[in-house]
Amino acid sequence: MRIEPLWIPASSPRLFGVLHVATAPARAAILLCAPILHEYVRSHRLFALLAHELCERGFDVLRFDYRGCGDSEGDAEEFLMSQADAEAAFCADFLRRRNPAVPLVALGVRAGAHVAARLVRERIADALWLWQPVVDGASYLAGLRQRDADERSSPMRYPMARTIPPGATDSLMGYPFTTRLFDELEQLAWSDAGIDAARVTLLDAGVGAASPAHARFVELPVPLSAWAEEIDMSRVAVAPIRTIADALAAGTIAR
Amino acid sequence: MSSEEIVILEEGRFGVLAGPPPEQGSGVCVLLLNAGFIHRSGPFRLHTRLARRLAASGHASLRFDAPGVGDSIARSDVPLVQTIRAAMDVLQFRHGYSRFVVGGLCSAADLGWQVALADARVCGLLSIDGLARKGWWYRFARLRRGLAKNPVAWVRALHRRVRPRPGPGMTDADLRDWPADGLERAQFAQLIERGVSMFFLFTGGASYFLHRRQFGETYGAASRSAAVAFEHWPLCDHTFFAAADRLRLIDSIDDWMGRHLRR
Repeated sequence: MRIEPLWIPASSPRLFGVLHVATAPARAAILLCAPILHEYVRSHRLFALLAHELCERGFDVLRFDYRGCGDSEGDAEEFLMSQADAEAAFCADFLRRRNPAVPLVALGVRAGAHVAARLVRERIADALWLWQPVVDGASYLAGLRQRDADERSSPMRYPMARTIPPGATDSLMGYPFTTRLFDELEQLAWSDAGIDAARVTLLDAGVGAASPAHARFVELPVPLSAWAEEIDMSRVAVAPIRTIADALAAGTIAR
Repeated sequence: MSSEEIVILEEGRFGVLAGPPPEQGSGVCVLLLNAGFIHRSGPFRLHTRLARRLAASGHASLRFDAPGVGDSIARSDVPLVQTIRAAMDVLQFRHGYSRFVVGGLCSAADLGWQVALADARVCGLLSIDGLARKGWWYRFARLRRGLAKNPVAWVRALHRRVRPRPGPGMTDADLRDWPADGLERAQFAQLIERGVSMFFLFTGGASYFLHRRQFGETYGAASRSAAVAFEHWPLCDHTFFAAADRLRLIDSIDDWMGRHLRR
């Protein structure tokens, strides 16, 4: 088992990725479609550890940074969900070429669930794992805007401020935020159309009426679900991640 | 866009090297250390943006994860100072850099301080919300803030004071990796004598730093050296949440590098 940092070949702008390569030939390949904005940084360690644990269980796992995120090229202002779709397809193609004989799983986290779902709808990926998917973009955005306002007015964050720093229309949760991205996120609405529920695993704290249709449900314990509501970093516990990796590895994945 | 290169470090760890090779530009490589548990791209991608700005100005940088942070999966028993020096070895022997700036935000500032003391290849220190002692000026500023509060805030503060606490309170020095009280002056003077340039910034998020004069009170007369840049931004938070604050920081570091770390 090894970790291979790489620039996704032929990507333009260059996309940075980390490939976790299993020791034996992989039983399946997993493409991780990351969450966005502050959730990307907040969850980075969690999903690095999950990738590691899945790799130990015989999966090749590719994590990559969207354009304008992490170590990939581009300014943060350039990030768009529509481009993330294309970038994920590009990375899936790279992963498929490295692992032509095994199923490809798209693992989508939060808003990244929509990116992963598209790969399944377009028959690029064979299975869909959804981690705390954002099902309604408008309410997701409203929640982020409220949290952004809370952060700006927080006496913990700005103890010396006598007035609340003005909210910026071009940033959200500390990240640049364009009108186009706003429109894209507001229009996000989960649809099961074109997705065979038999190929879907849902990982969440619970199942609700709005949850995507799925054949398998893996309940996330608090340490692995609460992060989405937090902004400050803390050490990630490994034991619950191993439990989830076991549960995911126990399922069958068909091409 | 300047090109960036993946560098393989010890024990399978890696980093992203940005900027010109050592024979071009300033010849200096900045080691951007992890701010707490935040991985190498930094809070709100600060390190990536800073690396690219510095590259455009002719300075190289390496952003990478310490053991147990970000993509460095395994923790390590090796002291962090040794790990950072090993990364410097890789940059020196495989890439030709021999002058380094180290540091960063919070714990990165603490670690940078230790590395600067331990390794003569360090020619610059970045200390953002790093070491400062509470002293007279801190107490003065605290009293001044207290007097400016309205009566309701006073009642709340008194309530907090008299409420029983679960255990002995932790001080900043307990939570941080700082030298024994009083040692920092001699260490600071030692770095100045060695010709190390230093950039110090304290934000409003550093609860232990309330008054500009705490800086001189902490580090002594050597803090007035021309090799030292000092800023206090009380209206900025600890992790640079606002894009304008990040840009101001990047501008300040870029400017400092240009003035102090030329070839």
